[in-house]
Amino acid sequence: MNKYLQNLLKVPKAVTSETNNRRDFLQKASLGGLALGGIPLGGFIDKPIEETLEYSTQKVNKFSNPSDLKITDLRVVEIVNAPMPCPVIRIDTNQGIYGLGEVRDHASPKYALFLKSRILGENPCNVDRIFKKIKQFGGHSRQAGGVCGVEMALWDLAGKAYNVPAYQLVGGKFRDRVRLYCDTTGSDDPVEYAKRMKARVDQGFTFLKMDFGIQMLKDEDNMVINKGMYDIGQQWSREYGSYGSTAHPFTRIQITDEGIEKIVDYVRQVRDIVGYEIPLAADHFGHFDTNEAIRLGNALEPYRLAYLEDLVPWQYTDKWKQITHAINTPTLTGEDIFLKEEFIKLIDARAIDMIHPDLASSGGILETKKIGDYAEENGIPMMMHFAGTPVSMMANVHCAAATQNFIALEHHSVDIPWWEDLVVGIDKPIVQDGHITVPDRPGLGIELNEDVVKEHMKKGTKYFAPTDEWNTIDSADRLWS
Amino acid sequence: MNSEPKNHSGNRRDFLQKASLGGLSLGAFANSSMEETLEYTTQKVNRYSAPTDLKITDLRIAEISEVVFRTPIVRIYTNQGIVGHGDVRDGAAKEYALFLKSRLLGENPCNVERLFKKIRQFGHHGRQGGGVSGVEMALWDLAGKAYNVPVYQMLGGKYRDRVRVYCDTTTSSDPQEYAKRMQERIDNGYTALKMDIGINLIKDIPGTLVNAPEGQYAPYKYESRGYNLTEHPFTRVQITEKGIDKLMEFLDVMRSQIGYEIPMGTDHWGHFDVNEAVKIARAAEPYNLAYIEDIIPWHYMDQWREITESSTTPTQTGEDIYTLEGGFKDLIDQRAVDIVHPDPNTAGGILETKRIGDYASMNGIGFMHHHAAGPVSFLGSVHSAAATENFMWLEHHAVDKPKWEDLVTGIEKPIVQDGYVKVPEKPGIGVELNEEVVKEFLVEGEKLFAPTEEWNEIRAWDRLWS
Repeated sequence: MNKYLQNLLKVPKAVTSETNNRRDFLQKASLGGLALGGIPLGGFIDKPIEETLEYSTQKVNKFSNPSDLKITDLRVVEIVNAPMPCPVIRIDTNQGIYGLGEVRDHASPKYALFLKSRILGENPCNVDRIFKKIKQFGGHSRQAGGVCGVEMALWDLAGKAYNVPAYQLVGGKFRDRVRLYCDTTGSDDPVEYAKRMKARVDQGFTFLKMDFGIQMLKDEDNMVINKGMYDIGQQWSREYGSYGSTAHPFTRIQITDEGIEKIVDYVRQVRDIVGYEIPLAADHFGHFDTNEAIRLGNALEPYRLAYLEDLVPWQYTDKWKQITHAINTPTLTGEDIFLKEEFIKLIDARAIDMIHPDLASSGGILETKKIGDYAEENGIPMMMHFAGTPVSMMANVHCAAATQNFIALEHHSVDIPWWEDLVVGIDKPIVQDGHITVPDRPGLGIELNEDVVKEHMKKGTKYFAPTDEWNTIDSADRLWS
Repeated sequence: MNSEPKNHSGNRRDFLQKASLGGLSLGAFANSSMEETLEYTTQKVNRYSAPTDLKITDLRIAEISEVVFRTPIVRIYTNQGIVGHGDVRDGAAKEYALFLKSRLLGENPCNVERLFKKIRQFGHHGRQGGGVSGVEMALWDLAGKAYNVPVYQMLGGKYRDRVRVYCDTTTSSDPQEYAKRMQERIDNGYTALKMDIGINLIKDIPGTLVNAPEGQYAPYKYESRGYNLTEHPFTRVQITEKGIDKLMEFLDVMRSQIGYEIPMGTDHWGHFDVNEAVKIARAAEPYNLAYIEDIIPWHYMDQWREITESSTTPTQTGEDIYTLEGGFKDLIDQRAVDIVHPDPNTAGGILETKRIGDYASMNGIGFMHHHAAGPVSFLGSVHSAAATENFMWLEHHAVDKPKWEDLVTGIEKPIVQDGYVKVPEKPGIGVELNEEVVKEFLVEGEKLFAPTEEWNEIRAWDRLWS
């Protein structure tokens, strides 16, 4: 059996004593609390009520008094090089418990701070109520990061208040371990790239993603038409009107047969080395229109890629539909979409084969589950995009555990040695054999490791500094009259 | 800079005449020497600025109230001494404009559409549209000043020299008194009126409302939000036949007092669903209302169409919608309302409001402007209105605030006369702030255009797609 299949079949590692305690609590709660109103009640019928009560409430560790819980503060710590810049937020309450959340990678912490005035004094356990109150302040991509980060922190709080893991508050779990997929640092040499991917497999990962595209043709002649207009090596240039900020249909870049052959040859070499048993996905092809996407997609079919991601911007539903119908490699998009409505359009139109929300943009734990559930009803699986710290990773893990059609969650920090050290209170390594065991602790199931976080803060920022200037924002919030 | 600032508008006319002789009728100079032609066509061309080198250097706020609903005024500074003004929407947070500062610094304000497309993603419906819209107006003000051209001329020129205004009237639960106040507006020269007629006027009359918000069954007692924040379909308020009669009594008294010649719109009916709205629209038919406004939230477009198709009373909504694509296009495509009613301070500013009007025009839909902020954006709206064919009326929400017009200078007073506003011919929007008066009405704790360094940088990745 190869390493990949071994990893897939591996059972979760033995639980530690801490997890045992948690299990213990759950068993007791099940005997006492959950079953009390149910069928096994008969077991207690002959016992005096005091004994029953004592038994059913023992070890019930009420961390808080949920109905009187109130939000008192929201603060931020900005972690950098994780590898992305990631603002982590903390929502404090009047009962000493706090919730952790995370604004989307590369988003401004202001997206969360802006919401502070709207959540102070609210009971964090009313997650959906607060979400409906603040969701008007989210937008697509990074602008959604504030709303999503707050939503995660609310689940963390609600879980801690009731002493329940977050997945249990959104319907319970479908799996005990969440499968990961990982990126691999690129190389111009396909053999080297494949070698690095093999190393990922040896680490235990069971699902891979690679980047290839016209950027590898930037110095070649006769392979990319109209590349003189742009620096096609700069997919992330920010300047207005540059290649990076020009949406695909407007670059008028075309790929010649020779260019496609060069890309295809690269993929062939990688696939030959990595083998055909492991799902291998692809992303970041460059900015070109529908026709080029179809030409490339058709040429790549023999290599049975798991999916082609973000071939054109997600907003162009009709273009996606055209691509998806024209090629036999699965298509996928969604990491920039905020809220279920735009996913519903893509799903209803059968415009893509798989959805790929980033929970820190799509609306948080519950909204992402709703998106996944809608996709499931329509026969569409859910991959999850992710590029943050373990705080947001755990929010993803709870959501993935609780959503049936989930396939795999991205892990973008495999090469960051201190990434797992940012948090405590969870079994290490967090990532093992390409999976994460779903935590059973209350809330998200992690706490920050203050010392490690402080080593990786953005220069000039402080650890959860006061944010009093965000306590009030004077504006009428009703979107209708 | 302007060499003769005191004789501003005369110079301006002069410039336009010369430019017309020079630019358009160049053939007339065919026999003159090149030097002479150049000299003639360029004389008195009063370049306020070197537009191609213009750069935005700062963005600051002065937040005022009392003289108007609370409104943050935005000022954009440049490297050439000229500044542009706009209003963030009334009742909006100044932060909606401040957030945009980091995305504007160093840009040339004359590239109005480019900057609008860059910042458009940070606006949203309701008050959240105020930042982008206020900045857009300030950019037009700057572009106009830089090129020495009134804003309407940069939108394609004007359709009218005076813009017609409509005004609200303070409410009274006594129909006779209410009619008297309406008549006073007419006596003051207004040619289009609006009044608030709603279930709040009849709430104390027994037997008029079912499940009334403040009724004896107190439906909001245990709810997460009050009546005010509950969207119309969810209140389950119903109006009895007696209630409808009482509401119609207001319209009947009004029309019998002020007659049937003046357009009379209605607003603020209350929060109830589509069936009640249809009953009202049908009952009101004999009174020939100009429109019923916002009788349900704008985003329930199917319900709007049902109301619109159910009666001959015109329907109207739109003051909370951000951008053409954000909602107006769907309303118009579906013929969901008879008239659209953007507020330029939410809709996306001067050009976006014109785009909305033009799209409505193509589809045979009426077009009027909501407005309830300061005179800067009021005049900004006047430019948009002047340049849009199907424009009808612009709201004037400060008729009873005598000092409102004092907030600005550089424009002929009174700004509003006989129910109209003269389209300004000065460069840009055509008004400057009277800082003394602005200071007088600053919101407590606010300063006049205080520094905003903390908004110079925002680290975030702005692309909405991958």
